[in-house]
Amino acid sequence: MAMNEGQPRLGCGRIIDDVWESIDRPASIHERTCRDCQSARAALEHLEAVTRSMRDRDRSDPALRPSRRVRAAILMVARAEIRRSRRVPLGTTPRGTIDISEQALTGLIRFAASTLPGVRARRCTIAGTREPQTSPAGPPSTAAVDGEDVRITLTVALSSQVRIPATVTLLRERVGTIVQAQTGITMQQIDIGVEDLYDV
Amino acid sequence: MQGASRTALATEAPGHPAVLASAEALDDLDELTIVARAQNGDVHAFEWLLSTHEGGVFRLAFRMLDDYAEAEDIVQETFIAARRGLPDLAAPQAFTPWLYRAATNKCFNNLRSRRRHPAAPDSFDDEPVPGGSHGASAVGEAELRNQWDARGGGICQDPALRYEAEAQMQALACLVRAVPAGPRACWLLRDVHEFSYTEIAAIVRLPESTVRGRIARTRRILAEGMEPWR
Amino acid sequence: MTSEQPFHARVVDLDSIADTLGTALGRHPGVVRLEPTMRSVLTRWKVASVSQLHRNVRPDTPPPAVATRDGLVLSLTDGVLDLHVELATNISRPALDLAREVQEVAVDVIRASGLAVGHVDVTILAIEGTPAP
Repeated sequence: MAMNEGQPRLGCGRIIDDVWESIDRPASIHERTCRDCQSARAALEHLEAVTRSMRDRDRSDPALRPSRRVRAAILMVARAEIRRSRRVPLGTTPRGTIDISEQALTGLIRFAASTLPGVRARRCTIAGTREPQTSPAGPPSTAAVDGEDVRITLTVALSSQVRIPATVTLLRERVGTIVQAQTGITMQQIDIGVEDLYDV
Repeated sequence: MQGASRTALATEAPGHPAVLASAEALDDLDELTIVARAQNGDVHAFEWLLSTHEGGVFRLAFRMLDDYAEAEDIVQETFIAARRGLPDLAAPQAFTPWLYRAATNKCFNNLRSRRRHPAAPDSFDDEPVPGGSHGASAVGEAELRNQWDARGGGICQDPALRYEAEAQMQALACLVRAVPAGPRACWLLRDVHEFSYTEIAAIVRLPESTVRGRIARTRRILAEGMEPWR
Repeated sequence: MTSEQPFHARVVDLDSIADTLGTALGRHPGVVRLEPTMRSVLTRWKVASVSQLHRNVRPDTPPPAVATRDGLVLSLTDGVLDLHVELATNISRPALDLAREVQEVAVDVIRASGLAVGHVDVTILAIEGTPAP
């Protein structure tokens, strides 16, 4: 078997890849007369059929999935780490302080955005820093965001059916209203980035 | 104001404490939006991605490592690392290959540590590691064959099984196990997990031509190995 | 009341106060749940160590200085109880108002136990709910 750029070839000179790529099509004139091709084709067709059976069987085989325990462990770590995000102070009462995690606030903002028809909220970042660091090794980040000066950037996908400028205006209002009602925060700046349009 | 009234109207869900703060079912969303939300720390979006991909990652790891518990470890490590790395993923549309890249690397690391223990040898003659052997031509097909001849016998050739479709799949699984880890990963990613050559090249960080070569050679070895079952 | 504190600090069962708080706050309308507390959280606040946690489960030791439950860390110093609450709220009620109510409920429970109230700090970790129809 000759090797050319790592591609195995048949005795007739064809690259095996080419035979593979054509096995779901009728045999070409060359393939009908070339014994190398015929035998390679038959062998590859058989392999393809068994591979497909194995692939389908594996996908539906309940024994070939991780246990629930693994899933629970992954989610527990995820929740624990996300909990260590920055805090935004909401105020101090005579009893003590009240704050909200950055994740809870961004989640609220995504929720608020998604109450508008034709809007799919994607990412919300609160100005000042990038995403919260959740490095397991380092000390958890407890740096607070200034609750008096909250500026956000929200990216969204919009339905192709909506009018973009009007929707963005409405979106800014909606987000501002819900965040104010829930947390008392008056946001200083709400930047909306439309990064995708989707068809309905 | 509309927003406030709408919020006020939101119904409480007693008895359903975990109802999520999402205005739409995640299944109705595009994967890009879900990935973006997971990047933003949304655990429900991450959970959706976990549900969607944990099976695939497990099956890849299982076919790479041939060990249920170790494959589970790969799933756990892959998703924990993926969640931590998500905010830095610049191209959310490449989430799936990115995830499989992490999983594939962890499988290679696992096999490499096995190789350091002589009791469980595994061939890495064609492994796609930085500084490792780059020439696909360095993999000898003969070596591939030797591997398979030496290890592909035994249960794979049990004649009692050979007439069953199940036996054919077992035979194939056996043959796959005997392929060195590098080409095995490429083949699994293409013919089982159905990634494109370009995606696989990105996953294993090798030129696409090398990936094609490895997959073609692996197919040939497997096709020949399956001859007795035709 | 202040003069009673040292006495109460010795005999008070911090674990039972923690249980009462957990029940009272968990039942408060709009509280979806108290978020499970992790050891990492304790470490962050530097109010407890693992050995203190272990002390909680050993019956023959004096009442613990610290008790934890899901979403609750109680820290007792010289008869004064500081509390940190972490919770998820339902979006049907304004989270900030709810947090204030939770502070009041907690203060009532702590006072009823005979302890002096220190800080009652509340962190909102999630605002959840069903979307508007």
